[in-house]
Amino acid sequence: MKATCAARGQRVFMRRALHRSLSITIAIAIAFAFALPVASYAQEPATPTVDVTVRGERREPTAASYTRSEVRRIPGAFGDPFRAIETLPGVTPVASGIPFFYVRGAPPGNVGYFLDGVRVPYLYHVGAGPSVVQPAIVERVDLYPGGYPARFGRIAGGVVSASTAEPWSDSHGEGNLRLFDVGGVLESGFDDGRGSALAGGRYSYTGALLSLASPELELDYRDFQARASYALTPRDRLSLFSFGAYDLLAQEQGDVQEILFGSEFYRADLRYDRRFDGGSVRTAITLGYDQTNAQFLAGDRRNAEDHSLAARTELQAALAAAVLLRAGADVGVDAYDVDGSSYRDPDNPEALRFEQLFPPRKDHATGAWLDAVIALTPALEVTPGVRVDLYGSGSTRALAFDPRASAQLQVAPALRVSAAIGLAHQAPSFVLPLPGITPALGDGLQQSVQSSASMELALDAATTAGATGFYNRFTDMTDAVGTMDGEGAPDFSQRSDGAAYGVELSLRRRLTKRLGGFATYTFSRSLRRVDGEERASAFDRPHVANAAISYDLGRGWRAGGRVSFYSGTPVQPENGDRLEPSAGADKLEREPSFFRLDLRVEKRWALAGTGWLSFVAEFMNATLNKETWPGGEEIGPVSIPSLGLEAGF
Amino acid sequence: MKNRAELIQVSAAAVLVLAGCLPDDGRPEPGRIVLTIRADESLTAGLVTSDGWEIAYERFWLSLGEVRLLGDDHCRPYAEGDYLRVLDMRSAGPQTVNTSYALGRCELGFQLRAPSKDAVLGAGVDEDTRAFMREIGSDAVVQNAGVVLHVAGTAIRDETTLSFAWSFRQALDYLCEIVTFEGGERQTLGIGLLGGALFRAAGDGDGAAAELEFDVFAEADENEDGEISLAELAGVPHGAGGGTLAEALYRERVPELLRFEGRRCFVGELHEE
Repeated sequence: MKATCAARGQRVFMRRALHRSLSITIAIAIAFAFALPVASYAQEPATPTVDVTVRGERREPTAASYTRSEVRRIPGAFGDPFRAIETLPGVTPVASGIPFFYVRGAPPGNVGYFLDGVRVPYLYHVGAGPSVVQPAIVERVDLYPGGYPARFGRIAGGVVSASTAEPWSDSHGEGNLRLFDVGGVLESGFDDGRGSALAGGRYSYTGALLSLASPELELDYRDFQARASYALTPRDRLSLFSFGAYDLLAQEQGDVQEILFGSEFYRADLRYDRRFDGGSVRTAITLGYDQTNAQFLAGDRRNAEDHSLAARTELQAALAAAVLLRAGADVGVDAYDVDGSSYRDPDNPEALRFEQLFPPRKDHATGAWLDAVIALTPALEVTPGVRVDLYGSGSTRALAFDPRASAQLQVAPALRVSAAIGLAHQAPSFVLPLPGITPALGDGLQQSVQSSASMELALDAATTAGATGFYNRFTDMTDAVGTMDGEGAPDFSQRSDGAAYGVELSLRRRLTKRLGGFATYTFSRSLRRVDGEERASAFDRPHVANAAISYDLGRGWRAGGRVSFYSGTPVQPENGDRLEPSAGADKLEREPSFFRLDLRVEKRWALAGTGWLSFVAEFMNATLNKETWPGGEEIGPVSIPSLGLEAGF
Repeated sequence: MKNRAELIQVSAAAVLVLAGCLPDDGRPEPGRIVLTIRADESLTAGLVTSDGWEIAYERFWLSLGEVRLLGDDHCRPYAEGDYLRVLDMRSAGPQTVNTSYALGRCELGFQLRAPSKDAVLGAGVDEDTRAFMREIGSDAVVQNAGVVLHVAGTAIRDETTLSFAWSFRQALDYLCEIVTFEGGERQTLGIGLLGGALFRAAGDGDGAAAELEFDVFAEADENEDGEISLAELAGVPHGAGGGTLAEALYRERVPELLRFEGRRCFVGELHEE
């Protein structure tokens, strides 16, 4: 039996147990909870004691995490693990319900998304839609707001890393039927459990519903996941994981389909995993195809695409009882292209900028990284690391050297403090991570210096309180939206420097408890310097708060609510390049602040065997509040009601 | 083994069915219209007013563009033309304003407005000119706006030489007649600039053939420094409505500078929301 181990005192949910409506709390009394099979026991007297084998990963000091079980209970998240990220401290949404965020001042284009180590461009269908990966296969999602481990490279902002559940030989499945889409996942083993095959996907019939109200509008989104995995030996496993997503929002004009938004991406990751005493190694090759309709950028109907090929290898090995070595290397080639344009004004600066920013080309990146988790004492652990990346784009080259370090000290059984600092580089990025829309290297790399210090206090086995202070410095950012000056379209070629600092507070009680919830608050400032003048970022929101509660009412009923609040963005100067100087949060004139209320009610029935059925009613932004976009435009209300059935076995 | 076969089938079906591709551009070939602007000879050869002044333009810069095609279902634009050009209208020959691709019958519109930072520079225009026109300023008529039109020149009569340099800051909107885009067809349509429109005699209906005057401007040189400023014109009552000469320039004469294919199509002033 396998389970996911997070850290000492953490609750571990085993999927088998989950299917028996059973959760077991275990305490893992190990100094390093990584890749080392250990036996442990349940500690809550009221729960049965079960022998388990724990194969877990150590908890990174800079990560904030949600498990699948928790995500299911967060009101307004629709069970999507990636959507839950927006509730974590340090995360500032671009707009309510829109799953692009600033993370500790880093713009959405500087936030990297990884699924099992495979980088993906975005996580949600058509902006506010559901996630592009079936939540049922996502076991855990981690947010690294900064100071992340050396294995994460070529990202200068935050990192969102999701892990899929391990291949499982017992037949099981999960599905949901909602007002606007249907999805599900099935997995089963073969060859006496040595192999497993998984297939999942989602299909939206929103277009059919939408066409009743607006026949000229077409909305289509879908995704798929397929995985085949086979244990060659008890220690060797070969897997092929393929997934992809497709989004189209179009409008029929006469007999012509005008694309308002269209994008798609696909990945096929062939990986070989080998476990050995005290460690493991993964080697993988990834094929990718990304495409986005770029009319909104080019002023003409053109598709930007990227054919990619990447390879990576990752090793972790316990060199001694107190030293875990982690190392890896990766190489990737991206062939970017834009289909030809015949119908554009050759002098239109928008089109010229597009040509300049996104020329057809081949980019490559090669990186190597190394870090070591060293337990200096049983209570003090340090992780020095470094990564080196060589970037190439056409004839342009750039070299990045990123040293990083983190440390955590168990001051007392219930109190842990940690700190991290690191340098990170990234190739120029578009303001939003969209498939195939990647600027050329041009004027060089973006750079950030990220630092933070945290303390976490365990109030009881299920409740923690935390506080973090952070300071990030950015150089040569491509944050076109954050530097908007109120005049016309953002200048996507503009570079800026910047800084972000703040304090994050959190109080969290596990949502898997009968009464669970969290409260998070972030005070931060995000500044930009353009052409020597400093001012607040267009998305500087000093106060961001989230609070949620979820309660098990008994008899299968569970209800919850969540309130989100954030302060308004700075009022844009009227006359373009008249930049507003930076000022204290209380001195800037701001657009109205925003709050929203999300509600969730679930009724769950246990069916025969391990089956279950749930009826879920959820409403994001139930108060139908509108918010004000930088520049004064009022948008929304972005409200999403959802009624659905979920089932699994 | 049965499960295995089923799952492989499901996986293959998922890949084939769900992995769509974005639609290609299946639009039919559009028509193309190149919109140009050309000034009349007065900008280079000068003009003579009915009261005996010889006027010569030394600078005549305007910021023109934001070409748009309107027409509901009858008009299908293929690309946007929402940008501006800074043009030196004393340059010889027609100058391109925009190239539009569309199908159907469209109303064609354009605007005179202060240049954006990415405004295209026309022949003979440098970045300093664009920067000058982007500079926010105010006068007696318009507050806090960039320059839409800048004219400078001299007026000579007998022994008297007067100069003028006026920056107009009111953005103007033009919406012209319907043009037809036929698939595969290429056309060139033109905007004409009438250099005499600024000195049209009051009350004359058509700037193109109107009688020109300058005495009224010359008399506005209150400080007798030989330079006629907009501020001075703002102090000269003009017309029966109680307005000033500066307002008359803004409201009546500047809008009359442009003709589309020889016809008026000025709609009104543009004001920022």
